[in-house]
Amino acid sequence: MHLVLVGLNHHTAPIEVRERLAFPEAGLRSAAATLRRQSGVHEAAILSTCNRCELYASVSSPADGAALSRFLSQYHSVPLGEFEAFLYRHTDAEAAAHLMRVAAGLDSLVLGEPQILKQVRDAFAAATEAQAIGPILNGLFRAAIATGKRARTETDIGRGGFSVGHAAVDLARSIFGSLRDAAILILGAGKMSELTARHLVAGGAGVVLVANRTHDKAQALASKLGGSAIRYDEFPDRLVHADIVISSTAAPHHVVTRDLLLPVLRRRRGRPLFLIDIAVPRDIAPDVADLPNVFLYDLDDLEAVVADMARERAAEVARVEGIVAEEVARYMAWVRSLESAPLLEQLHRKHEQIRQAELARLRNQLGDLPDAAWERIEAATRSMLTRIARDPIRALKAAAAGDEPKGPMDLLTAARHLFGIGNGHSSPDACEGVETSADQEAVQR
Amino acid sequence: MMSVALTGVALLLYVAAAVLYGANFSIRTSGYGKTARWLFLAGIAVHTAAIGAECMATRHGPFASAFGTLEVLAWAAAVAYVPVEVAARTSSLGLLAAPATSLLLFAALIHARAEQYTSPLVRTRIINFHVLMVLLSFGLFALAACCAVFYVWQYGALKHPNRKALFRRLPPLEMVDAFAYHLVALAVPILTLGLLLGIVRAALGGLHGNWLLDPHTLVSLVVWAIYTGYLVARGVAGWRGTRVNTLLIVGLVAAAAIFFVPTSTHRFT
Repeated sequence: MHLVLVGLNHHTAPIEVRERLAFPEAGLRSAAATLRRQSGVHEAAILSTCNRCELYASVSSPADGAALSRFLSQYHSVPLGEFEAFLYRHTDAEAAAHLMRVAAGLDSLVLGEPQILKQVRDAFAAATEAQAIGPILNGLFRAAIATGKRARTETDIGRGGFSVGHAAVDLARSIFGSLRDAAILILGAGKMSELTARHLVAGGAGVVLVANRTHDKAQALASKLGGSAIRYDEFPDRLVHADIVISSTAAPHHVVTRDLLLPVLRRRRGRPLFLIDIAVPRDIAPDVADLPNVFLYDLDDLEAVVADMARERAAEVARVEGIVAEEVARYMAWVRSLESAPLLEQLHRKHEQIRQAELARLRNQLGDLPDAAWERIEAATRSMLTRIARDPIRALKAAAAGDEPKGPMDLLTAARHLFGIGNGHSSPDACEGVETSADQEAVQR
Repeated sequence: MMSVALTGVALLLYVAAAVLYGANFSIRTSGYGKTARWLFLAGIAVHTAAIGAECMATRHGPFASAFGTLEVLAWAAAVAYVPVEVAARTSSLGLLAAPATSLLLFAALIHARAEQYTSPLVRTRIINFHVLMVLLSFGLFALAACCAVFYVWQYGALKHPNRKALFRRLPPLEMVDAFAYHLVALAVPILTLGLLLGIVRAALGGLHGNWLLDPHTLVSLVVWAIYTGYLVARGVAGWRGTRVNTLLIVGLVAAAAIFFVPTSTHRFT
């Protein structure tokens, strides 16, 4: 069984191509089910976002991977020749590594962005619901999701600051810890205020007050954010109780000045005040930043924070690649270990047949033994077989999970020969052969 | 001696934890933070055993020598740190707490060969409780000062956003401020009780010199005044910010001075 990936993304294909090959969210399940029914395809899953379209499948041989690109062409009624040049194809470990890098955010347009992990989860859920997924892809997607989580918890690759709004939330958390009790005062009901406030509200901020020269606009924004509107001239008084102020008015002059804030700060008794000025021209006088316990960030400051965070995330790439390499190695070892499962099952079945046959013969010879004695014989023979088989089973599992190239006589093949087990078929004759008196004599000798 | 050997092991564990806390702060790998926490906890366990061994060897409380006294002070700081780290859900505070504990324990080891106090006073229950209460409060003050250092550090990082997003590595401003306040709120009553026990014992007489004018007593009262002043300023008047947090650092310096000022009343040899 082989893992194959065929896809294209924002690195390889322009938007004009990506949009023609995108799978709508609602049709993802049926598409995965259809892909699963293609010849040579045993399992299938589709990851389709605005930046990528990737088909994952487990197939009998890597050559069957061609079915994936044909499916992509047929499903969207786009001739293969029109997009084949943009496609990438990976198999086995490379394919696994690709999905894990995607889940970790290494392949995203904005490095480490969190949305992709949810999209990988959605693709996994859709394929599972479509019953298009089996052990190989199930293991792959679980490993990819685990990799995405590890990357974000063990490194800084996914830490905030993807936008000005994210940076504002990060800064607010660094000041207040939890945003649960934080009160936000919004000055100016513009789009930028709304976007920034939305991030803070999503981050848990409690009270939201909106002040705008046009009260209707303030009310409209307040209702969107689940807050309340106040009259514009009330805002200086409200500054006393606010923790975070987002200012984005169209005023040509400073609306928050040092003189306005000084009496407010006295009443605040040193509680920190986080001022976010995203207006151009600026709403808050720059000298306000010198006041104690006031943290003023204008648009340039926030963008500098975003840039700093992007640099920090970029510095984390090598560590995330290390996590991906670990997870790929673990996943591939697990896939290889699957090869030993049928052999081990046959081996166990064969041993059990021998044991039962031997017990039946003993019953004929020693039929008058009490039940308790038979129970002990049963337990003793079972224990003996388990102990005899323990080391070979361990060795076979290790050999199957190992990374060594398989020669013509690898350990699994050798085990089949040694234990007289054919490829997928056990031999009843061989079972019988073990019980010959000649063998027993040989053992005694 | 068993207790000295165990103290050495505890010190090694604390130092290892301090190194890993530092690595966690600079590299931000959660594995380092977790390992540091376990090493620190192991350090506390060995440290506790060392104090027990010291008590068993001397057949009385651990305050019969400078070694034992400093050992208990380091232990108080270490034990107080554990609930703080759990509540803070961050191991960044360990960056200062673990080295501070290591430093105190190192100071104890330096005094490992110092002579035992011979005065029968050190074997009395009231003196033992007096010293224990004072040392516990000092351990809590040391931790509060660590929080205050983080506060001042984070304040600076947030005021100057060009410092490479350092604020993200430091604990939140309001959180360390609240921790410092709660630690001092816990420590001041303990110190008050410790001082009262000392005063009661002094009033019974039999001590060297004038206990009220003893530099130890005076510095202790200054420490008590600083931290009580902080509690009033922060809790009653509602003062916040770098000034009140700086007061905590000043308070710790004053508390440390106790170990260096001359004394007649607190001499037990």
